[in-house]
Amino acid sequence: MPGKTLDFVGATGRAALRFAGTVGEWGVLMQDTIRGLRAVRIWRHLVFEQMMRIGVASVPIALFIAAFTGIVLALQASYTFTGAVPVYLVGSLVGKTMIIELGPVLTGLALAGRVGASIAAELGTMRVTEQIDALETMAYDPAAYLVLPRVLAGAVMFPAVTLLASALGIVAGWLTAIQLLEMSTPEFVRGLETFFVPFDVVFSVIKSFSFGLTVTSLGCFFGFRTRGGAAGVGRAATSAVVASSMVILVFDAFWAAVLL
Amino acid sequence: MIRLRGVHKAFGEKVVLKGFDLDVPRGATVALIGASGAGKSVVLKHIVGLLAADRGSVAVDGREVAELDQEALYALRRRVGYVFQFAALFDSMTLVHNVEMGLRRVPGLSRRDIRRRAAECLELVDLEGLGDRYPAEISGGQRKRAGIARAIATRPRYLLYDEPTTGLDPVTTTVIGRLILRLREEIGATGLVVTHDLGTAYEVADSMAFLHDGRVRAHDAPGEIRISGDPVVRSFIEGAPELMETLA
Amino acid sequence: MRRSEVWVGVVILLSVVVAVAGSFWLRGYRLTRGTTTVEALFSGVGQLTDGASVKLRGVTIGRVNGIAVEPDGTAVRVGLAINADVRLPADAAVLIAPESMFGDWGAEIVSRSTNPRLDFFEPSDPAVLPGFSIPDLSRLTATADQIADNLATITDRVEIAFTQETAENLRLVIENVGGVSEQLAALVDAQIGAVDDLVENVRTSTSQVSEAAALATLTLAEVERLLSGGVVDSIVGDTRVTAAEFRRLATDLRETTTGLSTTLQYADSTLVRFERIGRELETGEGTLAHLLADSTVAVQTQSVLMQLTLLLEDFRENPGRYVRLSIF
Ligand SMILES: Nc1ncnc2c1ncn2[C@@H]1O[C@H](COP(=O)(O)OP(=O)(O)OP(=O)(O)O)[C@@H](O)[C@H]1O
Ligand SMILES: [Mg+2]
Repeated sequence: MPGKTLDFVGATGRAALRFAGTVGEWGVLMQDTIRGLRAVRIWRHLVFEQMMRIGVASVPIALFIAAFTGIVLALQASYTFTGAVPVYLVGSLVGKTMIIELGPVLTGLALAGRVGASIAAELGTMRVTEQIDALETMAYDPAAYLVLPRVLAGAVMFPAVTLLASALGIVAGWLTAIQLLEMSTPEFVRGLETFFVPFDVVFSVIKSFSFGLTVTSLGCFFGFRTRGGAAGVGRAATSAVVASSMVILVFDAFWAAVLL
Repeated sequence: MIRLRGVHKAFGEKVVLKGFDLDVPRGATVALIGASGAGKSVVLKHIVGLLAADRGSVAVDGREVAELDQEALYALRRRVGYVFQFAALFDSMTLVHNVEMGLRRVPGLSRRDIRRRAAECLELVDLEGLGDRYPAEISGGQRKRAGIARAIATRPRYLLYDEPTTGLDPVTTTVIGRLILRLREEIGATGLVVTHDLGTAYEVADSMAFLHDGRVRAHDAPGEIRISGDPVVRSFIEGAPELMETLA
Repeated sequence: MRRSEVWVGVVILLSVVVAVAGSFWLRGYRLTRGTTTVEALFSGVGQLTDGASVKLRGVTIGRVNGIAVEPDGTAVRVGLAINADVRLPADAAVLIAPESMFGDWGAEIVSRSTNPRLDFFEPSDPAVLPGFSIPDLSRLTATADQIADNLATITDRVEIAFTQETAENLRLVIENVGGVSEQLAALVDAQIGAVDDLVENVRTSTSQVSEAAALATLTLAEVERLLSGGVVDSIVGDTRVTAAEFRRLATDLRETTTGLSTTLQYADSTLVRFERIGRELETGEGTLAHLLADSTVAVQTQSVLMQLTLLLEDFRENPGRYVRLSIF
């Protein structure tokens, strides 16, 4: 029994060390990426394309999710608020949760799947087919050429997509409220106004900005450390999505604790 | 010149190089031969700093590769053309763009120069007209040649070929062999050619190094290697595994 | 200009426009209407935040725009951006109060004459409006708690000062006016250890007594009157009951589910009782208060009493403010 316990303790220690090592490697990649900022000529032309792929192409899925979230929020809020609670609070709940929580987090999670997996798979394939080595032999810094455009695009486009998604979610909630819940537009708007502070939008932008950095940098990170063929590429994509999703939720709690 | 001394390299448990020595003098072309999995590609990657030796020295032009800072390492890489074993073409780009990639990193080249030189390089490897194709749309041999075109585009002082002729038809193999010779004459490139194809090796190399068990087992002129008395070398060049087994 | 660049631009610009325009719209800024800013001074602003609504007769006419403590730290200056075309009452003042139980506060512009009892902060500059912050429920309960504590302290002290033994001693003292000082000194010695700070105070009294025997006689005669009339007993008893009731009041206020009308009635009766004690304490000045001598408790209780009276009156007159607190 003591042997087993020791095994367990040892395994825990090993896992912790491995985790710390992984975080450290990620840190090194980020450091390289930041250093890569200097090589403007390398990445300048690539950012727009990544913004297109990471941001613009993600707009439909983000809007789709947000629209249904807004509808569900309105329906469930009215279901929850029975009797004593004034109905205008449906507007408050839809607005507040869409802007500060569900907009950023659901968009972040959806894009972690869409963007994170695709980045990891793409860079993973480049890694196993030695395209990243080839880049290096041609004097391109892969951090500047591959990571930086994606991370920059993510940092800019996640907030943009999130803002649009939150707005559409609120509109969907409003339409639901007036069509299905016998609420009036002024009532809904009153609820919306009551607890709205402009900082909510800033908060949402900060959150989604950090999610953008997370998803893209983890996608690149897991792509870069891919080993072993197609299966490795699959693993990299999975790891990127799982890790990004977890970090997004941790960041979500972190920002709520730090900024609210 | 390229100079490797006492290079050791292991991947975890697996020891690949254990005291590898090799000199590639300026202007010479050396063929590096050896069994599959012996570590030939690993040797090439050390020269451009893609891998770092556990122990020993890897120096190009008298400067230790591992000690170069990023600037200097990139400067070195601009002087080196690397033909990857599996071409490693950027599959999101057309062939022309692949070839232009390296040229864009050369200071002082205008856009027109870049385009002209990319076209020239593709022509050199008989790929003119395929410039707008993507790597997925061409054959393996064409890909290999595109990889060579990409490596030579910047007219590097050093050319590292990782099995440039494997998987090509005999005619193309000869064409590639001649291309290597021609490049050597035209741009005076120093070459290190990793190959299984002894015919190409005999044709292009000034000397041949045989990598076995993490070390250079023999390094001699092609004529000497061909008639080597070393049973290990003999078993390799005659393709006779029995000889190998009797040794073990 | 490539297509991708156009699309990226569209998404970014659209999101910025949505965020900025949406924020302004939700904060009630309408481009077409001009606003002017008026300022008001408060001694405290509760949980008022930038952007809270400003109402006049129940209609939103603007937003709070800027909250800053005055450089000398004695007041808070609040900016109110209100529609330029709204005329404010001549004796305008600003009340800030909770709007709902969710902690969102709002400002209301009122006429001072209709709220004569509210203790508005008086700005020296006539252009700045006087302001008053309605205490919220938590302050109300805290105040009640504080009063209960103070009353308990008073009760304890009164009891210590007027044990049966002390009363007997005092009676003796009165019978023997000539030996006032010695006997008081003896009394002091007998009490040492039991009533530390009281002893100190009585010692002071002792020297005063020996200096002015006549004054002492008068004082002690008063004490005699109090003791024989049973006033002290009734004060002690009353105070204890009231302290307990304040505690219950505090608890009731905390439990917003309790029927509001009961709470109100309860507050009323408690207040009446409390005011009586206050008066009795006041008439006892020079004797009781002198003997208690711990003026801080008395003064504090006095100010707290005023605060609470104000609060409860407001409570009774504007139940709406508090009704909303407990059931929206
Ligand atoms: N990045 C790496 N990680 C782990 N092991 C590696 C790595 N690169 C090479 N190896 C191992 O080193 C050994 C030598 O590999 P290398 O690719 O140099 O062989 P090679 O001589 O080029 O063989 P071939 O002729 O088949 O290309 C192989 O056993 C391989 O498994
Ligand atoms: Mg190889």
